Amino acid sequence: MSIVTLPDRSLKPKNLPPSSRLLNLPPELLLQVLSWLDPPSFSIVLHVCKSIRDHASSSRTLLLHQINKVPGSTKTLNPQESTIRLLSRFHRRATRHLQHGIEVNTDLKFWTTQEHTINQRQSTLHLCPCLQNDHLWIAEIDQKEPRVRVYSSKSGCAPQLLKVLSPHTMMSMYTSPHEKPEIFFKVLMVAFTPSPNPEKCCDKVSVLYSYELQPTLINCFIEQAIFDAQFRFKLTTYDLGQYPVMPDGPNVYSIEGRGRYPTALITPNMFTAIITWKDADNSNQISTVEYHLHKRLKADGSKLNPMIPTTADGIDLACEERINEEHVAFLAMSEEGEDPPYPFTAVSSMKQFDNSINIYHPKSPVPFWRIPEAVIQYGWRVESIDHLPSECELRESNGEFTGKNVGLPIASHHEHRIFQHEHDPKTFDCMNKMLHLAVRVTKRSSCTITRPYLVTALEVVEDCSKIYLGWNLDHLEHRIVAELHGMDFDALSTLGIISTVAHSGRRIAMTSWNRVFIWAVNPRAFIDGRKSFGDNHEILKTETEYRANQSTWGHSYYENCLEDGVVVLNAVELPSAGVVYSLEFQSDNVLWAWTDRGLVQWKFDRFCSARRQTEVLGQCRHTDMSGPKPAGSVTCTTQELTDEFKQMKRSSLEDVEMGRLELEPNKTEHCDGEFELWFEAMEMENCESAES
Amino acid sequence: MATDTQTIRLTTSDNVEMTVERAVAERSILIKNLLEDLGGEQTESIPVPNVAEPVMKKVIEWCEHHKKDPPTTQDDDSDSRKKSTDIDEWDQKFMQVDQEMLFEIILAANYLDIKALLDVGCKTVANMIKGKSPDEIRKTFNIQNDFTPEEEDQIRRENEWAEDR
Repeated sequence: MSIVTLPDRSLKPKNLPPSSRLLNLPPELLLQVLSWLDPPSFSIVLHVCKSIRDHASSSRTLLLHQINKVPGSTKTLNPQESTIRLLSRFHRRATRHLQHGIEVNTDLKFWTTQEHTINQRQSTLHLCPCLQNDHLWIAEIDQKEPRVRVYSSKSGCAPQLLKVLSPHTMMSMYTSPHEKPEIFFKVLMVAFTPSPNPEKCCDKVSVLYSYELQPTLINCFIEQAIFDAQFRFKLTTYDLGQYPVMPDGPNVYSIEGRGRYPTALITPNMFTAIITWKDADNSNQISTVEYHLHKRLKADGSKLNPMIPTTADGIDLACEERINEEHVAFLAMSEEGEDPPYPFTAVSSMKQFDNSINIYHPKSPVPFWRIPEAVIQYGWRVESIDHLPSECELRESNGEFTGKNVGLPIASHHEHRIFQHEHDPKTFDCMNKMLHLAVRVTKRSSCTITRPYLVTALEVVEDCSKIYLGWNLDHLEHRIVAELHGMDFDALSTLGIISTVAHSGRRIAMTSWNRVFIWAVNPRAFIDGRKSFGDNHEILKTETEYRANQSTWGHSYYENCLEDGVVVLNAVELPSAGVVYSLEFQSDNVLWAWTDRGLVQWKFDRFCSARRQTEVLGQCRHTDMSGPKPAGSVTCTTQELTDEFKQMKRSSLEDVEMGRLELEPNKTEHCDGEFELWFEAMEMENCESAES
Repeated sequence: MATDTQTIRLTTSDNVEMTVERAVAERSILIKNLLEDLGGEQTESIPVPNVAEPVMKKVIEWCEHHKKDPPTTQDDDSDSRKKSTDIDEWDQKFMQVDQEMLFEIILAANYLDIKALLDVGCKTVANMIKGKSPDEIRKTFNIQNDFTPEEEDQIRRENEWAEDR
């Protein structure tokens, strides 16, 4: 028998340096390695070198294989497309579903402050309801001096300082600026108030202060006043439209706070402030909600509807009288006789949702209580605010949630005239669908297990009426359509969970301590029939058929995310930026937070490339005009604040002169609104630099 | 007729002769087809000109461990949802070798047509890429960044027009 020699099919070049082994693999083997990558790694590896990119982007099989790993409609995928278009399609899908390597590539920007007295924990973020240019309000609380700096950011650009709020702008009206101040304020909380016109930006900011009296003259009455001041808070509303910004005198309210401490503040409209409290001694931590309704009365004594402005500013004091009503309600932790799912503790935050108020328990990523619209809008009194059913009955057979309401609405969809009416074949019924973020809480012997889900609800209507996200949907049947994986909800810090949903409903972010997770969701895939059922949409002709298939909504779009018959959405963890205190989406791909390291912005659009930047927030240059002051004392006066603005204005004009900033010549001649022009110009400049 | 205990001899590229159980060697489709083509009992040593002795030892070690595994099918290949992290614990330990050896194993598996070993090797490399930034990948595999800044910018923008639903 002759000696056989196996063919030499190896393409291995000889004497290769060990470092280049990956690139020197035969092309078919390199493609095989790339085919095993998940989409985020595949996105990243395309940026490593030309050789890898050329191999990857010229293989139709590999590109189709990677595209099929990302959720998306298979209908729109044409295997005969050019490789360039397939690569584009991959990028688009990967970016949409956050599978373009944002764990590594996210741009992270820190804004630090020159002062070391910023209270990041109480500083706030607020997405403006105007929703123009993704307008985000940022309030920075200076804890040493009672100042709140209000910044505005549009389209992901750097925050621009708009206002500096201080109670001493008011005090200086009544006392000489040269006198030693006798009242020392401390800023506790800030809340932005939406404008009565939903298309306009927030026009008011409310600040809750505690204060201390240190008068030079002492007598028994003043001593009593000093003692009482410990238990009183001042809620002040500033008008953002004024320059210099001054609190509206009648809008300063005194609030009794003996034995309790505020935990959250919200001002859903210019007439209502809602504060949650906890007991100061921590012995009984059940929070109460106190809402202050500042109603207006006409001269004849009849009430005005607070939601309808009467003038441009909505206030006409000449013919009106203001009255204050304080209502107190208690938060129920559970139904009577039931075990509460979570321990009693203080409220973590409140958020406005449509016209209702969502109240959050630190352990739950979805609201635990809700104050209905009617209470806020029409001043209905309630003594106890029911909790939302966090422990939902989950029937394993059909994945159905029951309860009055289920968590946080994400999106709604109206399908027009899709069923023939049961009794009148000539008419057609419409269908409303809703997508919620919900949690299921189960109590085991020694622990509570929280699991988040996406659930859908379905409603058939005859009159073509649409459904709104703020509505109570306790009459609807909810079914699980997806599970959210990737975050441990059962090992939380004392800060608990902070969660937020992008306005589009396409992003859900949650944070626990210093870890931030994001889920990408396509709501239409679950509630738009054409996407949720794919080709089957055409054959579902009756309501019964739709309901029977409710738990399979989204299976067509999320075909590659199915695990045991359920869509599983995995979280992406963003690079850590410190302990997170508050979180807000500005747009789908821009997330902001106040952390223990300052103001932070994560940007994870298609252009992100792991940039790390640190800038100084606001670049305020103000003069310290006074000598040594006691801790917590007030150091700024109206004059000082005006100086601060003048300094900013000067620097902006210097920029114009130096050619760094361009303003339209005819506009610079006007004194009024000069700062607004400056801020607009700065924003434009920042936007342009960001884009470039 | 060949039996499970039958052995064959392989000669590696560095002229080392190795005796291997036939069932183990037949994990390689190349050797299996060859033996089938030749028929009868193979007494001569089979030269394997592209695999050196240390690599062949590792390949034989893997084949011995997996000799009872069912043969791979077309269905396994078409499972697009396979994750690169899905590597058997023994295989993970087996692949804890330096990069030089890892790529030699991949090349050997490809040459000898051992699909399962090739997959394990490729998955291991994929796992080495996973979770790393472009710079870290370059550092891991000592790759030079040959993109100019303009090209990098172009890459980010070139697909912006694409439409997807």
